[in-house]
Amino acid sequence: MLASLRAIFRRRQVEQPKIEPQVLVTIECPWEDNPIRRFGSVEDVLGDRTLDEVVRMVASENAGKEDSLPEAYAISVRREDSEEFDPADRRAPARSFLGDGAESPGRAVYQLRIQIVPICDETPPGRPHQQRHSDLAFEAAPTASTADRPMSPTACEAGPARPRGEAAPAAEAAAQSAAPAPEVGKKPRGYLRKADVLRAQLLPKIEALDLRGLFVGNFGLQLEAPVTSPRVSLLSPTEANRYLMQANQHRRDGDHDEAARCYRTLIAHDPDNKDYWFLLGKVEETRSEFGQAVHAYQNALRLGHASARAEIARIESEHGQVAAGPRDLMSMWRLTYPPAQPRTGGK
Amino acid sequence: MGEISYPYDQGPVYGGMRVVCLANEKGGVAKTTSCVNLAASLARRGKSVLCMDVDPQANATIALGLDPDAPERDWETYALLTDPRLALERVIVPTAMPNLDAVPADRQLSNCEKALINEVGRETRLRSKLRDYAKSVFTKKYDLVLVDCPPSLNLITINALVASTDIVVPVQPKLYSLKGMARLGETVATLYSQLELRIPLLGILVCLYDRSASLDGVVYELIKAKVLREYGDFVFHNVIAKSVLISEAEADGRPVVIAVPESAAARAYEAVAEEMLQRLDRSQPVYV
Repeated sequence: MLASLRAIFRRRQVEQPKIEPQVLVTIECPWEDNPIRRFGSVEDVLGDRTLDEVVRMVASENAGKEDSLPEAYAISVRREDSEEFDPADRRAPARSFLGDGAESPGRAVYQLRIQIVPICDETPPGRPHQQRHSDLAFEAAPTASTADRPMSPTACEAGPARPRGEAAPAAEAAAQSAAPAPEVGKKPRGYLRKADVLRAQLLPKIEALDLRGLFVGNFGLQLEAPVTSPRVSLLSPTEANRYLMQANQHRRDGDHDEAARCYRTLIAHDPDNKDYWFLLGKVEETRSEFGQAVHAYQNALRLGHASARAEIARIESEHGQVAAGPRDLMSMWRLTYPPAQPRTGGK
Repeated sequence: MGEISYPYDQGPVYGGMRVVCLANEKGGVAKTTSCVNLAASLARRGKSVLCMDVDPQANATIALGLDPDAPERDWETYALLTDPRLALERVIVPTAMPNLDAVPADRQLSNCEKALINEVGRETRLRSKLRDYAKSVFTKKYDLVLVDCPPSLNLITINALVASTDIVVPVQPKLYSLKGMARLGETVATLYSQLELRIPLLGILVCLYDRSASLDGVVYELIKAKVLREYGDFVFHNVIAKSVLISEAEADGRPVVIAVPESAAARAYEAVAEEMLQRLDRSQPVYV
């Protein structure tokens, strides 16, 4: 599944030797092999798995400019465009995700605009005070080679998924170079908007609101069942078992980075599995990523893992109060629809 | 979604009359203001409207230019709910606006719950009165009845919900207001499961929207996205912005759509009234 995903980073031509904050990303999902699809999978996969990968790939794309990656930054993801996406019809995303039916393989191409917002302590112009918000801040991850990553930065935007490591055709490279230049003089924003911070704070609370009762009169008892379809693992049991064995083997071999990647793959496909979260917490703890470990343990605890609470308590007793890791930020940004435009009747 | 069959004579059958209840457990979300202004806007559009104030605070009564403390009005609304023999037409009073009548509240309504607690059929008193009113050949028929509920989920609110054909939930774009809406949903679900009452939601109306506050924009965006994604287009596309003109008009005993019809707030209520009519046309009443 991971190998079937491909993210294409179309780097814009920049004159200044620094990271270009606006990166147009297209995620292509050929689902020919797996008939089980669900709405929101692309966002789920992106949100749960590739947060660091995105950042590393951006740095890799800007090879030699790693120093200019800000020390702390936030990432926002917004769906930029989708041909078949109609925000007025709530079933439209599912339809576009499923494709045209049996004749053509279901494939969805989403264009997401990933914006990397450096967080700086200096006061931006026109703002009295800039508050650094720790929940949205990421410490810069060490850049790593993405040659073995399944997402190729040079893949074609709408073409079929290529095997890992295969080079992009020359025509695509030419198309890449012919990409329009960015607007000159438009500098990246050096601070977080207040609305972004509020959105990150409020989204989990509002998403947690159970409004099903209000709509019982409209839809009847069908709302007694969960409104959204239950999460279904896209991996077959055999595949999941293989991933799990791989992850455990990596962990035993001391390759904790690869083990964490495998666990994240499993979690992306089966986010309600408490054992995956718990094992990920173990690996993250071994990597001294205590924030992410606590976050993983918290998820395991939420799903009912018996030992997670003790692990959190142990980490906090040994390392003090640790803020939960930033892994859940992407899920907080998981907005399916474009921002609503209220009409207030005024000018 | 599947249709549900109901036993005979269950549910609010009022002929062509639609009874829209404005409810939210949270107070201060512009329930009364919205009720009064929507009633006035709809009356201006030629609809025959009855505005029922079942809130013991009687603010809607005052906003319509009526005196809740008038001696001739003592006990009447209270008696409407507690006395099975008192007909609805006895407590309807005309307002200064054409096409708009009112059922004013009185202070005694706060004691209504205590009086109803041991009564048989205490949840369906208002519905029975509205049914009798709709069946009578001697009564004036209304296109719409708007019910202004108190900010709680007591027996009066439940009477209003049971009597309603549609619900509009005014919310302020704040978290507590949304929580109040969720609590109202629990009550609606309870009525569905216990009384087999199906009260469709007409829409969620965002009021007191402050364009200068980032929070309001974010909450509106998030709740609209959530409702649209999970249930459909149930959030009114027009919002009511916060405006001092509304309060000034209320102090004058008139809705803002009458007092300052050219203001942005009045135009917003007119737009919401138009949208409400469209939504009513789209959603046929369940029992009628």
